[in-house]
Amino acid sequence: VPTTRSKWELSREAFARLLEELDANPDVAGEKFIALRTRLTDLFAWQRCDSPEDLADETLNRVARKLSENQVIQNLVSYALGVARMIVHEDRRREQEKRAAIRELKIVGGQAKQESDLLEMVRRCLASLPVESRRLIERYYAEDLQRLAREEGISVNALRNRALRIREKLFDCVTRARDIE
Amino acid sequence: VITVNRDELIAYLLHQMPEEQRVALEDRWMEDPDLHQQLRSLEAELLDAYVRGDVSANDRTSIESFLLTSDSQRRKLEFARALQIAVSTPHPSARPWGMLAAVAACLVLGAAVWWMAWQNLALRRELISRSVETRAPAGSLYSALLRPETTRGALEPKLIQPPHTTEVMRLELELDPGDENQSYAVELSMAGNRVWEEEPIHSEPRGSRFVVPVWISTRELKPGQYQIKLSVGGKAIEYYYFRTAPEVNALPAR
Repeated sequence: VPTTRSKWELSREAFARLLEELDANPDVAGEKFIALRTRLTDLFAWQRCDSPEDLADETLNRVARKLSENQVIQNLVSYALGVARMIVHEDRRREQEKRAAIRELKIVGGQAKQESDLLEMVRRCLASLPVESRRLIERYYAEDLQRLAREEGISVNALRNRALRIREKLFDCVTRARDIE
Repeated sequence: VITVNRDELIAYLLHQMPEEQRVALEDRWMEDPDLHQQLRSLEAELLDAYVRGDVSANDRTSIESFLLTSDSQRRKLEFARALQIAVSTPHPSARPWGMLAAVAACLVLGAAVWWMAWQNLALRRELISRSVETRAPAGSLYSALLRPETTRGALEPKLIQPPHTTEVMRLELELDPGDENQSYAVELSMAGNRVWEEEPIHSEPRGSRFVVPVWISTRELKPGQYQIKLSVGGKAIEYYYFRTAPEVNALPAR
């Protein structure tokens, strides 16, 4: 992301300082870092930014820079949100033209193989789920939710939450598989 | 504790709330992992509904304008589409495939003469290229051409809707040039479950192209969405998709 501030590069020390600020326990700090990056990525995605991951990294870089300059930050998440909003404005200034999303959605010929590959990945990831999870998500998409919820002895909301958690695991599995390939 | 209802969260995702309210909600979900998770779940639901075509025209436009503007967001849509195909219908019950295949083969032989005459109809090629398959005359045999291009339109696989008197379907899998003259294996599956497989099968000329013919008893096809995997030497070379409407299963049981 071409911004003037991004010329500053994240050093090992600055990153360690950021993790330390998130939590004293390195393992917990790592989890918190990933959670914060996910939230920032979603924030930029839901603000219609073009490269949510890059902007999330830019945000974290700027936060890390402030910490490395010994600036005291009371609430890191809140501070990161402020930085992210600033970056959204910068990004919008750069984006003079609104994108016509539907145009970009058009599927071109060369993507047929990719789609087949994706379907195979989804199937592989589905197959890797515990039987109950797999059956539940298949039924969730195929059957009447009220009836299914009754059968499972849970509310429709609980059913939805359960199915969507499985869906999220599937998405993570597919994303990992895509990254590997 | 201020609760946020589902409609408000959807309004946030689709930019259908005033900016001040959006900012306030953003402040909350950035600090509240549960609320963030709810938003992610709702986004997934919206994309699923979009793929199924279960959203209003307005929401469809909003989803395209606000949720599909980056590559990472479009990857979520691709995933939603693939997931719908993979789990679109429940497990079909087990069937005695061997015996039914034999029945289908007998029906095929009986219908062969009729088939040859029908195949020569001048307009046939135009008819089968339509996205909704034209109904064949009442009889025991029905044919449909499936093109590998169908995979590109995964949102709307070809609808195959034979008359209820149809007993056997001949699916012709069109090959890309250069893929002919091989021995093929075909696997038909529904919701990830294999319902039919056959090998070896050889291609046949069809005008200037080649097709791989697959004969299937319509009794074995439940309404729903199917995938056909075409393989050579154990390696998938092409996929074909189609869906069947309820009529396909309307043949009374013997």
